[in-house]
Amino acid sequence: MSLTMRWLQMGLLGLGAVLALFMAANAKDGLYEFHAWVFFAAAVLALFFMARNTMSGSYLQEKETEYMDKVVKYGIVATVFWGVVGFTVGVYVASELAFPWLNLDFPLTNFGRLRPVHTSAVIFAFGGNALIATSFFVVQRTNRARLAFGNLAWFVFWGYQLFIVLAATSYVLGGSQSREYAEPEWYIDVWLTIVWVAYFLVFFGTLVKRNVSHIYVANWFYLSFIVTIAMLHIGNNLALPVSFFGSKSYALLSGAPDAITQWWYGHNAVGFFLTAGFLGMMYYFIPKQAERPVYSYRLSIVHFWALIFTYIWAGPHHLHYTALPDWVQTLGMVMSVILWMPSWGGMINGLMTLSGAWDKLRTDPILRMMVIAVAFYGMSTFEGPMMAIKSVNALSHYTDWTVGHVHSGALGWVGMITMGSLYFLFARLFSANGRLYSYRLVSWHFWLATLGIVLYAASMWVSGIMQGLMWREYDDQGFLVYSFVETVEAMHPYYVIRALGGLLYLTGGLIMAYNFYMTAKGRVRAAEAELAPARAQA
Amino acid sequence: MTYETVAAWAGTFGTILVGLFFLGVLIFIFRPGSKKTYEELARVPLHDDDNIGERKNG
Repeated sequence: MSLTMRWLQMGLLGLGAVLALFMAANAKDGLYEFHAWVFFAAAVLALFFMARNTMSGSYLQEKETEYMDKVVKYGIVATVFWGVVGFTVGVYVASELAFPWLNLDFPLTNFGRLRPVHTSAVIFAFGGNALIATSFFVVQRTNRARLAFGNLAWFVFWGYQLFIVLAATSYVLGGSQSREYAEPEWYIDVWLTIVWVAYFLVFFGTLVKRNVSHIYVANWFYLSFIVTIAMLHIGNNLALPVSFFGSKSYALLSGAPDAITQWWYGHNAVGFFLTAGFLGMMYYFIPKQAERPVYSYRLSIVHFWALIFTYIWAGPHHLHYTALPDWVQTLGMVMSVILWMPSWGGMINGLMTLSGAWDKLRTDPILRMMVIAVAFYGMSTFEGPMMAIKSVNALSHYTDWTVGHVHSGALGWVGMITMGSLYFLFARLFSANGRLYSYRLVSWHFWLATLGIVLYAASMWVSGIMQGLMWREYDDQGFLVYSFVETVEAMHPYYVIRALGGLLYLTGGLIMAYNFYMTAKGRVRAAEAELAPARAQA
Repeated sequence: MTYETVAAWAGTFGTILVGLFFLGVLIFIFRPGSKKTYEELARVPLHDDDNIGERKNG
């Protein structure tokens, strides 16, 4: 990294700070002005730390012959932090549904504003940081190359945190473009686009400068996630701002085309963000933790191509029985059912990687976590296509069943595979002796989280199917038997159980954070110290 | 290029091309003599990975 390059980067940051001041000075509404000041503060802070780093000369010590692990470590800390934040908000909004007085009558604490904080915090802050951190780790290790473009990886990391802060603050302050999983307004979308292009450059650049001939399959999944999310993000957020100095914008499309664009985005956010990216994690960290090769590398190739060809068509199943053309709905349903095959192929590949190492499940709680993740992947990718069938959807749509399905995928698959990989990385990158502070605590985390998911999913099945049946109950005169509020009343006990399930999951997350903190401090739990040599040998 | 031409192309040749590509992938990965290659590739995560830059096949 040359000094000229440093000056150039700092010059860009300075320009950014001036632009932010200009935005703040001309702002047409409070939210926009607030965010302009956030941009300004971020640029000034970055400038300060870069100047300090340049003067101390510490950037000269970074060698091309070493992996760039510090940015991965920051990413892991961010993942744990946002995970706990996201789970906490989740438990709170679940409690608001069970006990509405918790809305507290403030706009800020209203369910409508806190709910996107929860969804974005768990999907984009927890999941996104996990994907960025693990992809940086995996792409370096499997290609034997340091991350490309020097400091750009740091820009990706901090730029992404800035995006999260902008998004979360805009929700609680009432700024939203009301698109599911894409609520941030236009200028935040522009910022994310810049960060995402940088992310693509770092990842792709590292692939280009690799020192191996074959690109390992986990990288394919990560790359497809990065490329597709870029395409979806831009396609879904085509909007015209009312003013370049105001937060409000209007979507380019309207009516049915807008609806299908939203769910083309929404379902592929599930397919490529929450599935493909995390499959990249599965294909690296499960073989690593089990110390077994991938069950079938051929199957992983078929898995990849089948998954990316099929997923992109499944979005219309979110719009059954709407103004969307009937044939599009049918197409979405058929493609969703076809998805059974790649999903289960991948699940089998993940599970069977343990062949010859099944006994490790008894002793290794981290591996147990990864395996239950793959099991939940199988369960929710079975449930999803089933719910996409029109006649099933007629009952399930708009009910809590959907919410339960999403959470069995998110808490079970995404959460568990992430936390399993996190434990692997804690021991690998943060611990002086290569082991965690406590494996018993991992076991506790595992059982609390699993029990939490079971409570969550089971209560939402009962509640959702009951809700759907009550909505469609007619008497012999052709009148609806139940009013809407009666269904809400009937769901109360299940909402309480759901909140309890979430609380168990959050407790598991807190235990993980504690275990992580103690591991980073280099401590080993006293009662487990004698286990260490046995584990090192295993 | 109207919507109709794109839709007609996607519904016919596009579908066939994608199908053929997928078939090609299947044929390619089961090509004779490739078994050993894929068994080696399945072990990539297990290689000692702390040596940056060391050129190794897979």
